[in-house]
This record gives sequence, C-alpha cells and structure tokens, in this order.
Amino acid sequence: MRERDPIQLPVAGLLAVIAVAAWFGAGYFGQELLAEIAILAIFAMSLDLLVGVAGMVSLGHAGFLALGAYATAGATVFWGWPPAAALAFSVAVAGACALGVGLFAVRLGGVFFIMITLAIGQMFYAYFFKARAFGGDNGMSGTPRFDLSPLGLETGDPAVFSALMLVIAGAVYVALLLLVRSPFGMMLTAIHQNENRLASLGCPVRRYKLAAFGLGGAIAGLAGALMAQHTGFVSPDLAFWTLSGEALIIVILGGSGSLVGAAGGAAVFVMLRDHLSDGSFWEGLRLSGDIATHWQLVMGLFFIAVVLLARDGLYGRLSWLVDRVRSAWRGRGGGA
Amino acid sequence: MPDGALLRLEALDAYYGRSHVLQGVSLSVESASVVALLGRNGAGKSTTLKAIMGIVAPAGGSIRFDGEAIHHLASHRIARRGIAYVPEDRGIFASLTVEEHLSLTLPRAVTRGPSSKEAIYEQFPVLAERRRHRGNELSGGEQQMLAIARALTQSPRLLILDEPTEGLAPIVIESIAGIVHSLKGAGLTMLLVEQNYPFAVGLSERVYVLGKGRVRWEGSPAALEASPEVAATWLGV
Repeated sequence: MRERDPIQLPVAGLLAVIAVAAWFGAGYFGQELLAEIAILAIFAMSLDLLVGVAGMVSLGHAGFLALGAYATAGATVFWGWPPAAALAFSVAVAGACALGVGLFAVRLGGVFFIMITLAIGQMFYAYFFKARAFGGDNGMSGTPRFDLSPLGLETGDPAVFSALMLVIAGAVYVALLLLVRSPFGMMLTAIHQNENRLASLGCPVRRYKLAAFGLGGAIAGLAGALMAQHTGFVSPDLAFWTLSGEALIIVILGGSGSLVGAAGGAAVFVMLRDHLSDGSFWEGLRLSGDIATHWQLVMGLFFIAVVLLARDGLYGRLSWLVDRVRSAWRGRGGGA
Repeated sequence: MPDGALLRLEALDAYYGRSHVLQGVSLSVESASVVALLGRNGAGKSTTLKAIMGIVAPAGGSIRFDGEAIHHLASHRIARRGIAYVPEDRGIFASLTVEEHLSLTLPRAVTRGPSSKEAIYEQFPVLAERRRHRGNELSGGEQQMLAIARALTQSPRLLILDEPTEGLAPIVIESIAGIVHSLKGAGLTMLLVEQNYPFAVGLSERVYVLGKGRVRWEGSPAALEASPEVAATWLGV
C-alpha cells in the first residue's frame, strides 16, 4: 500500500519557501514577475481542476479569465465600485457564464468538448474585440488595485501587490486541494477515469461535471480580475485561444491533476519566457544574443522534450523519482 | 410467460454504427430468480446488459423494470431505480481505495452509515483487509469482489453481472461462485452473462441462449442439458 500523492505537500511547501525567498530577493521587475506568476498559477490551477481532475480538456478557459477581467474593469471604471467588490462581481459573472456554457458543453466528450470550448472562448474574444464601451480592440485601461491604505499598505508598491497575489494564490491552492480530496473531488477523479461506470452506479455525472466547470470558470474569473488589477489594463487578447493554450501547456508541463504542478508550471513558464527572450541570458551562455528573438522556438523544443521525457509532467516525474528512491531505500533496508 | 416480471425486455433493437447487434431481443427476469444469458462472443450478451443500463441506447423495443419503462432514462436514473451493474471490465477506479469505492455509489448509501459498509466487509473479509489499498493494487479476483461489493452498496433489487468469472483462477472462481450463490440464497434477483457454462447452468433457473443478436433458445437449465444440439450450435460446447 502506498500513500496517495505523498509529495504533494512537501512540493507545495518547497514552492512556498522559494516564493518567499524570491519575494525578499526581488527588485522592482522581479516583484512584477512574481505577481504575474501568482496570477497565472491561479488560472492554471483552475484549468487543472477541469483537465487534470475531472478530465475535461478545455481550449476556451481564457474566455472566463477575460470575463473576470472585463467585469472588474467595467465595475471599477464605469460604476466606481471598490476593487474588492468588483472582484466578487467578476467571480460571480465568470462562474455564472461558465455554468451557462457548461449546461450544454458537459454533454459532449473528447474532441467535441475541446471544439465547443474553443468556439465559445473565441466568441468572447470576438465580442470584446467589437465592444466599443470597453475600447474594442484597443482595450481599456484604468482598473485600480485593491485599496489597503486602512492597513497602511500601498498596493501600488509592486512588493505589496506581489505579496498579496502570492497569498491569494496560496489560498486558492489550499481550497482546491481540500476540494479535490473531498468526496466531491473523488467523484470528479472517478468521472475522469470512467464516466459510464460512475453513471451506472447512480451518479449524476453531468451535474458533477457542470459544478466543476462552473467552479473552474469562477476561479478563472478571479484570476482575470487580479490580472486587470495587476496591469491596470484589459484587452480582447485575454480571451484569445492562445492564452487558453498557454494555460493548458502550463498544466501539462507541470503535471496535470496535481494542482501544485500547475502552480509550479506557471513559475517555470514565466521564468523560462523571461530568460529565453532576454539577449543577455544567451550571451551569458556564450551564445548569440539574437537567439532571444526566437525564444518561442526554444520554448517549443523545451516542451517537446518535457512531453517526450516526462509524459506526466515535471510533477509526475518528480513523484516517480521519489517513489523509486524510496523503494530502493526500502529494498536495501529489507535485504540487510 | 407469467406477469409481474421484475425486468422485461421486449423486441429490443440496438445498433453499433451500422451493425445491427440486437435484433428483437425479448426476455424477462422474475423476482427472486436468477437468469443466465449464454452465447458465443459477439452474440449480443454484453450489449443487452448495456442497453438495460442505458449505456447503449436502444433503437427500438422496450425495457420495463417493475412495470416502469426505463429505456429512455439516463444511466444514473436507471441505477437509482434499483439496478446494480457489474461490468465485464469490473470498472474499478485505479486511484481510489477499496473504502472509497464503497463510499462512491450514492450519497444516500453513504449517509446510511457504516453499518451497511461493515456488513459488506463482513461478507467480503478480503476487502476488509485491503480497505486502504487502491484499485490498481488489487488482484483480478479482489477487483471482481470489489465490483460486486460496490454494486451491493446500492441495495439493488436487480443485480446484473457480466462474466464475473472471466479471466480468474479456478480457486478464485470458486469463491466468487460462493458469493453469488449466497446472494441467490438471500433472494437477490440476478441477471447473469457467463461463458463459464457449468457455473451459469448450476446457478440459474432460466437460461436464454443468444446468437447473432437474437434469442435462439430459452428454457430451464435441465432442458438445455437435454438439448445438446442447442449447446453445440449456439454455445460451441
């Protein structure tokens, strides 16, 4: 008998330590990267709930991120809502829309589900692209950040804002982990493994899938609201399918179904992009700095390598490695 | 055929793509009886069971359970009417423990407390020992027992078993047979698909022989024993 997922909490703890150390060590630009990583981690974990836990591969998840971002932008700029209230509004709007979309999307499986989520994500993109009130394809700026001045904190300071984002990402992680390990999460895991089987046991499979889809959309909306606060700017690109694809890559890179893998994958993704697109990084390796202009090519090769060498992602590979070391250790102890 | 059958299939038709796999299958299962469905590979046995469970949508005909038409219902609603199904592949979830499998079935069954789960463990001591093991850590026989045990947590009125002895060692088959016989002793209604001819014939009160999607013969096990030509033509024994 093996303990299920024994490295989940140690890896999460390690990531937390790295995040705290990075926060203390980071300068202005580093804090911006940290905030970006934290927000992307929330978005990736929300997708992991769908893809890795419940087995619903969505290519339109960015649509809900964009909804959350636009809801926050609209509520704060047009209606003058405080950012915290706008954030709650974003979560509600994205969650409600995900439930609406889910009503028919969860009836489909496999490639049909991918195609319908892709189509719906692109519909959001097309809407925001044409929506004059939101600046159309130019997007709109002016979304304010949380007001923490009563606590003596200035969220305009990147260090304060990135710390806040890290705390929120940590809270989302803990909440999702508890959810995945609850009876509800067990049902989703079972649905992923064999949907028909669970249905013939009397489980209303679609209702569970719908709940997961709605929840995933709501958390994506949260990430969108935070993203709007972070950059102060929203544009139709937030709904574009390539962002959904990026999140999917992050989930697969990190190791789908593990949550902490998605969070770690977000960090790896942002750091890689940052380094590979920086000419001085390549010059440091005694290579031409021009390679930086082709960073996406290098990134692509990296992903191909990960998928070939670690089909279950970085987390899955690490888990496998720990398992091997442990059993080798035990084998030696038993043989002596 | 007397009325009051618990399960009644009438002129059931089903297709896989263009191939007409069930061609007017009719059969009935009386309360507290065991019915065996025999036939060669590809005769339509498993498809009949899947049609009952709503996994394969019938193209025509009707399925009635306790008088109610169920052929248009979703799988989970059929299960909730009181039909438990143990599929051929056993349907064990690799990453869930034995304990979790038994809690999985229905929220209702879970809240009914540990009593029912404990009763199951009493009936399946092997599972009690392995309650914290995951599905992929169980042997084939243990998986089969878990699949049957899980079906029993649904407190079914009809238990459908698809080849419960397939691919198991003789000694394991014996213990599975013991369990199924004790369920029959307790008065549970069962519909059984089996390739293991002696096991099926020894257990059931009524036998249907399927061939190429149709019912080719029906009768008592004794009558089947007395008709070697049926067995030779449709069962290959």
